[in-house]
Amino acid sequence: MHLLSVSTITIALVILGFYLLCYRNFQLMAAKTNPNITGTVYLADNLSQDDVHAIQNRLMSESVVLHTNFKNKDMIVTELKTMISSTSSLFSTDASLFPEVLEIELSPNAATEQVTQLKEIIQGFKGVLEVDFSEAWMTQFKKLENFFTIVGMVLMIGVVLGCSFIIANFMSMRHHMRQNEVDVMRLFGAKQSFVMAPFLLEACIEGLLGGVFALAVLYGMKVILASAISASWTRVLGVQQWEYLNSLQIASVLAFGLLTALLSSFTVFLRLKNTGAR
Amino acid sequence: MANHIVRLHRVGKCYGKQRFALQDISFELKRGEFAYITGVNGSGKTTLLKLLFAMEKPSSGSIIVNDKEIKSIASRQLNRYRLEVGFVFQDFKLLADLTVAENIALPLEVRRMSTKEINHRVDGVLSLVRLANRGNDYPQTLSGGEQQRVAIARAIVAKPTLLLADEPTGNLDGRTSREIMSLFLEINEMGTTVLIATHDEILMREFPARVIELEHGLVISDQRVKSQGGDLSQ
Repeated sequence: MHLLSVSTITIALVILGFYLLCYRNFQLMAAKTNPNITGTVYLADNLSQDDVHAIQNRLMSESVVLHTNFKNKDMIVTELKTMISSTSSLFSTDASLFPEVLEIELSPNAATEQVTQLKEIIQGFKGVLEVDFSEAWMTQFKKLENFFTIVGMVLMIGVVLGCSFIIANFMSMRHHMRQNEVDVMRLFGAKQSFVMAPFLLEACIEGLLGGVFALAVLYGMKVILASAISASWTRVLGVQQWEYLNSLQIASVLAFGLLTALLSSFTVFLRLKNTGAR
Repeated sequence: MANHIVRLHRVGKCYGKQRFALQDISFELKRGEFAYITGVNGSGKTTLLKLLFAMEKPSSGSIIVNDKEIKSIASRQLNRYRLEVGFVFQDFKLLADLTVAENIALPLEVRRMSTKEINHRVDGVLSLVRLANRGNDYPQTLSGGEQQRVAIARAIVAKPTLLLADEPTGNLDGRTSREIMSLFLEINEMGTTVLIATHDEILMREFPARVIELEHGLVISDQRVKSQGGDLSQ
């Protein structure tokens, strides 16, 4: 019976912990991939420096624009050469192929509608060929973030309810088996606290054990994930290595196990028939 | 201190609307008295003991034990009340996971007595019930008679002034029953008032004492068994 309770808590906490593990690594990935919305304004070839300054000033007058950076053809070619060093000879002579650009960084709080509106405004500027923003990626990113949050909440509620229900039933079975013991203690005048103490202590141990086992299983899962999704994927996602839960998350998993076990034990205890003390 | 340890006045117990377990029960027990409650199954013996042990509340009338009205004892004060009243169950109610000594110590532990005092008292009652060398054994390794003696030891370890026993010999053979009755008498001689619910007429004749007979929840006679011959007198 103890094994069943500990196993149930462990399973519930592994589900919750796995979510936390994914969420943590998702956050790390987000931090490394710079979540700010950036854009590129491709400029016409015949613009003077004053024209570029004028466009920069108009851009900076928009509330969502944080920063602009002008790059001429030579700078672009040099950057490309640095990025793709092995094939740099491809760009050695033909810098005129590339347009000059203004790189724009927007506020991370900028809404998609604001970005779309800004895009339309910039496209109306004289000397602007094309505007390209990362808003589509950001929208996806935010959707993913929202998805994680909703999944997390659903998981949390599901784990609390499901785990409490299952553990409560296990404990109920065990308590019914020990009804005689509880009755005898009550018949000899044991106070509620005296009778409850061993049950709550048992629940504490089960909850903590379940938490420790779950953390061990999660560590194993992290190691497997790290080896399975290594190399290419980690580079694509911008994550150097898969991280384990942080200390707050570890404490949360343990606390959650403890709380669930205590709560279910307490609930069952209140349901126990009070046959001894009228 | 009043001469009577137990006083029942027109006590009734009703389960549901029409099911009367006890009706209009009145009697008194003197301090140090030894008495039986007898009657056929369903006559109300166990219900009466449950009322005296404050396991249930009477539906009507008053029960005064040690000058305390049982109805007025709050649930949180029950442990103090049960320090004064011991109860021996027919099915012993021993906890299989605890040793004999631990079972006996239970009423003292729930009152958070010191370990030294608990050990002292447990050793004393183990000697009294002649189980001094069985303290570390588990109940399931004992015979029925020995288990009943453990139950008696647990009931008297808190030095109650009143000892209630519900069919204490119901599961025992004749010889063991006599040993148990002797033990009750010994406890009674030490000053404890003893009230035993039983329907074993042979034992009542062998160990004569006051007999309160119940039928359908009513007291139909209250008399003393005088001799082994079975002569009764009012």
